Amino acid sequence: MHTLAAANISAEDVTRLLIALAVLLGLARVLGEVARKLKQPAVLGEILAGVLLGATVLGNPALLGPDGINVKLYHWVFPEYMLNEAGEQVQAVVVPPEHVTEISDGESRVDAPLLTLSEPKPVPETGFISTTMFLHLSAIFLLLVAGLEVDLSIVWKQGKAALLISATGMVIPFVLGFGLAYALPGVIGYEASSGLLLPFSLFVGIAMSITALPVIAKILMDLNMFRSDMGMLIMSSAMVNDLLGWIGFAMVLAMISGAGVEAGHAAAGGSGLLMTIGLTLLFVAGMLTIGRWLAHKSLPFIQAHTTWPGGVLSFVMVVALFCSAITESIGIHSIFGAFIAGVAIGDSKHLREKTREMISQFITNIFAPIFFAGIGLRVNFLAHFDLLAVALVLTVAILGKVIGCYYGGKWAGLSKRESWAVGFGMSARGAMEIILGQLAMAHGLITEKLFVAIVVMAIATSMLAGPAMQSAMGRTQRRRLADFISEKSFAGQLNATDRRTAIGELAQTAAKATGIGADEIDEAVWQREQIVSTGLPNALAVPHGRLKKLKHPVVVVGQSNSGVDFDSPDGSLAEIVCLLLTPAHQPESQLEMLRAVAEAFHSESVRRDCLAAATLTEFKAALATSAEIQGH
Amino acid sequence: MMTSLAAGNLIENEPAAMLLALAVLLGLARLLGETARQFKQPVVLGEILAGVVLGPTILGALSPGFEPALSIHLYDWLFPSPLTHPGRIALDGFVEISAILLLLVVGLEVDLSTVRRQGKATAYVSALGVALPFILGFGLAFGVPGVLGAGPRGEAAPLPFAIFVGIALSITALPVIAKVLMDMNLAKSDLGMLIISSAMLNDLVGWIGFAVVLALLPAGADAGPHMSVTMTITLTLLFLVVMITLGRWLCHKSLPYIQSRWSWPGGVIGFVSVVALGSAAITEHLGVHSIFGAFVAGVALGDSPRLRERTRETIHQFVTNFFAPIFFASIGLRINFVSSFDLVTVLVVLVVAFVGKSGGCFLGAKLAGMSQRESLATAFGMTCQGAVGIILGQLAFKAGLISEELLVAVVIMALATSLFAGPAMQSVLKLKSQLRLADIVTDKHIKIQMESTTVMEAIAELAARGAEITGIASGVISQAAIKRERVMHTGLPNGLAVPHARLTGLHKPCIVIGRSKPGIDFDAQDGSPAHLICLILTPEEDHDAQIELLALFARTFQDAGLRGRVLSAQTATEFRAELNLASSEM
Repeated sequence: MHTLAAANISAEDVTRLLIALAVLLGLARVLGEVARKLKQPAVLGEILAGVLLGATVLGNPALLGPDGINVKLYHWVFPEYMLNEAGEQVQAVVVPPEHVTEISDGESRVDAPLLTLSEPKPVPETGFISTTMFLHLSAIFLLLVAGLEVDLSIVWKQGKAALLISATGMVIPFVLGFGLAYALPGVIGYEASSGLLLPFSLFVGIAMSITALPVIAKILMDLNMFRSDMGMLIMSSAMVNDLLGWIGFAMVLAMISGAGVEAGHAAAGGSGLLMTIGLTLLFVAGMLTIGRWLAHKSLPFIQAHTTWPGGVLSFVMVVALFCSAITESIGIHSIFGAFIAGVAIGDSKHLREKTREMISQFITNIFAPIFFAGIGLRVNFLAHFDLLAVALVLTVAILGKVIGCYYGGKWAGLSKRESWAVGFGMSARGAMEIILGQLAMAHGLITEKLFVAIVVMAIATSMLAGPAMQSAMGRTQRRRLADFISEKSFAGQLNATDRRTAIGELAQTAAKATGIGADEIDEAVWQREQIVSTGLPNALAVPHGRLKKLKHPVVVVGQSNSGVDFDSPDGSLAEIVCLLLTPAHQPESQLEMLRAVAEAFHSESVRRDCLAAATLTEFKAALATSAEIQGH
Repeated sequence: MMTSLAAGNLIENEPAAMLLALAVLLGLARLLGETARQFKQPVVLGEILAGVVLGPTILGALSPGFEPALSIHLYDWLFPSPLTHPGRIALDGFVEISAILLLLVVGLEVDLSTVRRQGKATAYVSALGVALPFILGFGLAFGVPGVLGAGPRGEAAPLPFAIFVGIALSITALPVIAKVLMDMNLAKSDLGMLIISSAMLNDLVGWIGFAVVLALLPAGADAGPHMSVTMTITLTLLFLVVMITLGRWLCHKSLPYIQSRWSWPGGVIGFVSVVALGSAAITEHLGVHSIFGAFVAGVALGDSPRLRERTRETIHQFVTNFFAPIFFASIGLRINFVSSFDLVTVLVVLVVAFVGKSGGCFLGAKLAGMSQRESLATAFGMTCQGAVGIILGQLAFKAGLISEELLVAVVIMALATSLFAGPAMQSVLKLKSQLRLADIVTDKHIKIQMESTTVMEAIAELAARGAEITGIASGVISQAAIKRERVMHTGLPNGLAVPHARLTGLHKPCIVIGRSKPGIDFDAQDGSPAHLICLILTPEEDHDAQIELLALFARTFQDAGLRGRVLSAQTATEFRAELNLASSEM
């Protein structure tokens, strides 16, 4: 007789586990980067990776039949349940631990096999258990990072406006979502047999009212608005929103697990539900007051006594794991504990930016892609795609949020334009919504139909938020120098020794890149150069010109090891020369590019690396690594 | 409920216990690790001990034979048998991944050019370091098998059994020794490279040898290899060569692409992990352990100068502070050392392993022309057996090759040598770690809010605190310091002052740091009032101490940023936190 799991991980299991993780992580990162290139949220690509590798494409029997090579490959790399030779799931009963005696390592004997056995269930593969556990941990750490970003002190400073926006921004979508679910449960995939209509509707309401802090932060940074008053207002409303949303969701989870306890032990009466809710509230209150204070007090102590930043890093992880174990045993999900732990710790000003950065880098680049790819793995997105449900969810989600936040913003005294911007910004749902949906599905609260609709909604709103805010505010995205340079516009080493011939040489390259005659470019730039020379301090030069025929701004880059004299104020010879060409009808783009050049070559190490770069790829690599450093 | 979704399964399988188990393992391992560091021992020592404390040896075995104690319930709940609780399997899988990432970090630190330069020494040390303990172990097991205790299948096949014992005694634990070297900041030194590369060769030989043993076992081996021994050896060597030549070149070429096209440093972190996981899967499939593949991947990647220091740092910090402690603590979780303890077996194994290994490596190092001290350090470093010995022992035990007594002996030997290697190397090399202000100051030594306004009062105030610490009367201290102060004022530029005195009857140097927000005029050259005043008390006979401490204080507070942060600290602990951060960054 099988017990629920094989006893030890065999070499083949380890191989499969490693391959599964490598494939998931690899494809998720690649597609995530592709999405980023197309200016879409990375999570879109990451989920797509799971869809490709999972039940929708690779493991789909419809492709090559149930015995097709793709299905076999899928079951080998991502095993789920043990299969017998006929390809059916092996069924086994759960043996209570007290009836199993370990004879020796790897073998066991079951005493009294006829005692209290459960219903037969499929036997999970060891590899499946390990992967699942890894995904579970990933979700915990993702929420930890999300929690660390919440800064309650900012919220207090913003005061009334933030609270108003988040209140109306939550209430209206909640009411709409709740109404939709309560009135038309069947359309969005509610199963009447579960008897959980109230929690189901509450969940849909909450799912509509939550927002995505990381997505919003990223959009604001891209629009160069993160440090502005407006940006802070949006951030702090989103924080309140997130905090309340997760607490509400914990309540819903408590309702269903409390209901489960009630059904199991009739004698316990209705105390189960109240108990779970009470404990949850107690935990939240305790963590946000005493826990926060303790974390604030112990951080300096840890920094004083342990290696840095290792000690703090471990401390944060241990606290997060402990809190998630606590919430899990209360009966709500473990990731909720990690979130609250993140809020409590992240609030302390003693947590250094570098530690925060390190945790978030590692988690968002290793755990997050694996988690999101893992979501797509088991759900067949094609089979469960229901146009009506998707359309309904999407409409309610966008309308509720935009209208709610718009009126909140107006109330708080923002201008019309700003209110629209806040509304669109807050409508981004992003990764948090997907985690929420995944959890609800794991708890049997929603079906795959609604889950697919929620995933689509989350991605669609995240994609919409950036452009919509941009047009509402009339802002353009900040562009970096690297965005203007292409393979054709990289001139490499210059032969010229004086600025006249240097400009001529760059104009030749520019002609190839733009299709405009080299002489024309040369003349325009040289005329400008004669008025005031364009040498900058630190061995840079930015000759520039405006051209009527040009459609988009172009930058041509040349390097000179010996240096060219562009008569710079500090007397240095120009080693990196950037020729800036802008369309005559866009006078503002020249200033933007000048700023981009100055910003890009701000640090000495970047100038050195750029000068040494032999190819455009190396040149861009040097620029990219510096851009990130300055970004923080 | 049991639908086709990822997290659904674990929700039914007590993830709370598993999360708590992880938290407890990580927490205790880090705590004991930091404690070990405070006592100037390798961190890994504390981390392994955490596993022993939480494992069946202590937590799971307190008050055996009596009413089941609370601790046993706790142990069973936290770390249940994998037979009944899938959560435990998940934990084992996590530990496996931790080991892989740890070896990746070790590989990233390897500098191939150093290895090449030390080719001769590496060859000698690893050859003799394998040969001698192997011969001793083989001879012992073949000659007197009864002493060591063969398993049911081992008795039927004395030759494989003897070969296994030889291998088990000759393997060096790469992860442990690498961590010890990193803890001592020696990983990048020539000596560290020699030890790591010898250990790597050693490991490789060991794993291949183990594959041979499994192949030699009589038929019916369910744990037997799925491919022939020659295949395993050929493919492993092929993999190694390809990774270090072609793989290295490919990594070097693709890094700039990833840096320029992908988000930074995220793209690189993802790329590094994927390469490591992929090659770990390959070696695991070939029949050598997965950690070997991760190590080779690390070597191939780390050799490229294009891998930025910051990327390395992020991976390194996360692995050494999150994954590695869990891995080392889990070693102790696997075994109960009490129930199958056999003194004779343990002693025989311990002595043979230690003498054979250190003797062989010492000879090898001497033959390669290294100094006495370095040879000894190499020998002690290489004795460390740790995790790999335990994994091998477990596999052999499962295959019925060895008895439980021998397994326990191998594990105890592995732990003992791991614990021994670091301190022994440290004492041989007489490493004098650089003195840091943060290490000699405790809350007691800091007077966060001075009340004095004049020099005399200030000295008396600090002297009073000095008296509490040293036990010398405060009058004596302040008199000596004031006498010195009268000769010439002790103010330094930047708002520092260093009144000092030599005292007879003082056994070791002592400093008291006082902070005055309004400032006290110590007549510094730049005319600034002193905000940070450090009273330095040294023994009369120790001439160097005073100069050393003076320089240390001035050097530490050279940094204007640190001075500012220290002045705004609320408590003595915060004051020290700033000091510690500053000296860690230096």
